[in-house]
Amino acid sequence: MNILAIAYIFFLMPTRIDSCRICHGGETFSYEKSVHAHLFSCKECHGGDPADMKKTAMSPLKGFRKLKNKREIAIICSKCHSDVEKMLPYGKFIDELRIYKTSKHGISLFEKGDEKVAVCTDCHGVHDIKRVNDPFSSVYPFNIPFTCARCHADKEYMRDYKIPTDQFEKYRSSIHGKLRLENKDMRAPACPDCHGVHGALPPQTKNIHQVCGKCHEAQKLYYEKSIHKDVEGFSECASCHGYHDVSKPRYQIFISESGCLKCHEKGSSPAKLAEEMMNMFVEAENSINSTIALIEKARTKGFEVEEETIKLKEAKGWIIEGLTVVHSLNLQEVRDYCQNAIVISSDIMELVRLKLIEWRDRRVMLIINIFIFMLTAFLLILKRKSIKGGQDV
Amino acid sequence: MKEYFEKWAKKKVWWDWDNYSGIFLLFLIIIEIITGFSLSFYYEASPEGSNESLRYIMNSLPYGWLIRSIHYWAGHLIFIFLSIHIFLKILKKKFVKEYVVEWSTGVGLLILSVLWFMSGRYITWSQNSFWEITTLSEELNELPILGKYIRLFIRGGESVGSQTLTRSYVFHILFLGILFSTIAFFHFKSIINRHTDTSEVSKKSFALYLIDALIIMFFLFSLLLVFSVFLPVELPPPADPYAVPEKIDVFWFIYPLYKFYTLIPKHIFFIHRVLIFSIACSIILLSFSALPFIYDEKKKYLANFLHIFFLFFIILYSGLSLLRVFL
Amino acid sequence: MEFETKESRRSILNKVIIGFFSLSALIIGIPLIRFLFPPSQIIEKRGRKMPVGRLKDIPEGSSKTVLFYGSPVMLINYGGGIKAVSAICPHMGCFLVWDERSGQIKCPCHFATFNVNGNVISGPSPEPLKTYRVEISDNKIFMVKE
Repeated sequence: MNILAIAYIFFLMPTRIDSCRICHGGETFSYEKSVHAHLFSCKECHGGDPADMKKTAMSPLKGFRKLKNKREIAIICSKCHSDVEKMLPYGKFIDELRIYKTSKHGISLFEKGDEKVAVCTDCHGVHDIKRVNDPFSSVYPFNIPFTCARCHADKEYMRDYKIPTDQFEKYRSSIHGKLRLENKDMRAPACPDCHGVHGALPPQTKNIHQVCGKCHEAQKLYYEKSIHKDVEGFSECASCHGYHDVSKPRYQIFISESGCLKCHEKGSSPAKLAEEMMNMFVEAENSINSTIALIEKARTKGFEVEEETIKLKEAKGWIIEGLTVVHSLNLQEVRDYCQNAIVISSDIMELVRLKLIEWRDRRVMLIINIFIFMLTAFLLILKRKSIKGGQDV
Repeated sequence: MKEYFEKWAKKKVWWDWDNYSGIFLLFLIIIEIITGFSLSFYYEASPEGSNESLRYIMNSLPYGWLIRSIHYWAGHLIFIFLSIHIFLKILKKKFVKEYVVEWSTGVGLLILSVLWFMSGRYITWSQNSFWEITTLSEELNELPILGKYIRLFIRGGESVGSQTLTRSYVFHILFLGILFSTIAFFHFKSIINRHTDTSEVSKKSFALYLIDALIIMFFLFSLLLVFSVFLPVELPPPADPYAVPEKIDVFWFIYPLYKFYTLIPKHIFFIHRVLIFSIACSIILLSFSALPFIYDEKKKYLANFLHIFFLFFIILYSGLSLLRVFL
Repeated sequence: MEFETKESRRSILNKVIIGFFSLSALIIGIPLIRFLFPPSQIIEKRGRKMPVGRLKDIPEGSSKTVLFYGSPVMLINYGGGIKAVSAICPHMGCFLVWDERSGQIKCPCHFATFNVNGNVISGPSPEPLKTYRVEISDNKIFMVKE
């Protein structure tokens, strides 16, 4: 191992010779791959005297810091990362430590002295820190959920904290998780997008719609007009759509225990309102489905149904918009949207019916024509028989 | 005019029942020509205009769908009846020496029909036919010496594009039509000239024949109408020169040839398979058309062997291609 | 007598046959003739360059949605010229709306926002809008099929 380290120093290393590398080959190797590699040496963080080839290089008198204490780590990192002049050329933020101190992790570390919480090195790596946009970085957007899950999905580790450890599993099976982790779709959020990056906090119940509304702007706008906004103890979006296990909402939400009926009793007027809204949507969807079936029927009969297909998109658009407007809980508005969809589908069905009438006419024409042809052929056969029978033409 | 008709009616024409298959084909070709002629009034032979004009014909013009569907189905029916026709002719040994003109012109007509159909398919400028022509010309390019010229001739240039479409259109409506008519003329002339008997005015047999032909005609109309109404031809997806499809639907009549071709390994001892295949096909076709000269009634074993071989071959071929239609 | 009846039967048969023949000829002939002589009211054939409207129908700053080869297209009179972009949102297929005040194209379903060239400004759209070429001649707007 040491021979390798010496060989490494003499043949592969740049000009700097640090005594650290002689014994700490592994750490040095991973450090060389990190983003800090060509900026500074071990001394910047750990102190000590790299020029000293003996063990006295690690003497506290020479300023050596083991950095086992997490508070120390945070402060050491912020030595550069909170320095305006140092960070200016890189265009980086300089208030990570200040924000971190407001987070749940920061509060636990700095005020309660809890060493189990995450600090800079737990997420970004120790010696092998890579750029955020490096696919091998532990904080790369597609790797972040796994990094957070390292602690938050570990039941043993999180035993003392009384918070669930199933978030990662739930997230993975959720629509956001599937989009981000499987489809590699950056539009879907991961842990920091909702909880904050360095200021990680679970959003307060009054703020959930602001968090979700960062992307789901339209739904947020309608939600803010609704009666739910000022309800006490109501976890806003999460109450109906879930926290980490957000899935594509289905119409069942209106009448299920995990949806409206979680708070409202069955038979109460809010529950009845919910059911009525669901019925409106279901009616509109059914009308669109029957239109689709009719259009397909006409298309297979050889008719051109381009215009009808475009109008169908318009009808579908009303329902999609209605599903956003439903967050305002305004029955009349929802009714208008669904009605528009139904009216357009009926118009389309009328157009297609005309085509199907033409189809019927074609078949009638066919039968009549074939009848006439067959009759003529039969008469000709009679004539043929009469000619063959010896008669003159 | 009347004299000519009288003279024609005086010839006693002996109609065997296998000639009726020919009558079917004749009527189908006439229907194809009439409907094709009507369609050519509206069809635009350019990549952009092709699909548009077909859409216009199918949806906006009165009975456009009917004319186009009849044209389409008559085209397919021709090949079904062609299989029956060839089978019957072989069965009735109509390839003996005295039928040499009909037989050789018949083989020529067969090849021309296939070309006529394929050029017609190509004018729809659909994804399928575009890539069919591309791969066909690419494969033919591999023929030694002539390959390059054949490819240029089919494509009308280096790449498949609007000039190929125009070329295909001219082939379809003009060139092949003229060739076909010329060869068909000799085909029919020799049939009619056979067994001339000026002894009696055989108005009766002529009338019988005419009535038979008319019955066949009405039957064909009914069949075509049924197909057109219940199975109208669709508008194919327009050709996209940048999207190569995974599978090309080859015309069912030449599907056994195509399948056999794909089974041959690409190179056998540095000879490309297209050369081997062309030579094999040419040998078969030449022996097929030279049958009147090869077949000799006196050499019983050879004669029987050839008869049964070609009978079997046509049954197998038609069976395989029809299987393709239904599977 | 017998001969006469036979004769009359034959002539009746002949007449009936001729009658049905003419009927069949009509059945075959009428579609063909109607096909070759199309009536004037039917839709004109679409060509490569299709007229979609008049310049005066779209005042400055406003928009109009038209159908072009089966796709809804939004024509916007903006910045001196006419811009043509697809009127369907790439997110979930809702019809887009032109917001005159902000000069942006918006989707009412999930608030996807696009600029007048079809580029995404904000919102959940995964891709920009398709743009089309427009030609203006003699105060008429034509759209060209690529």
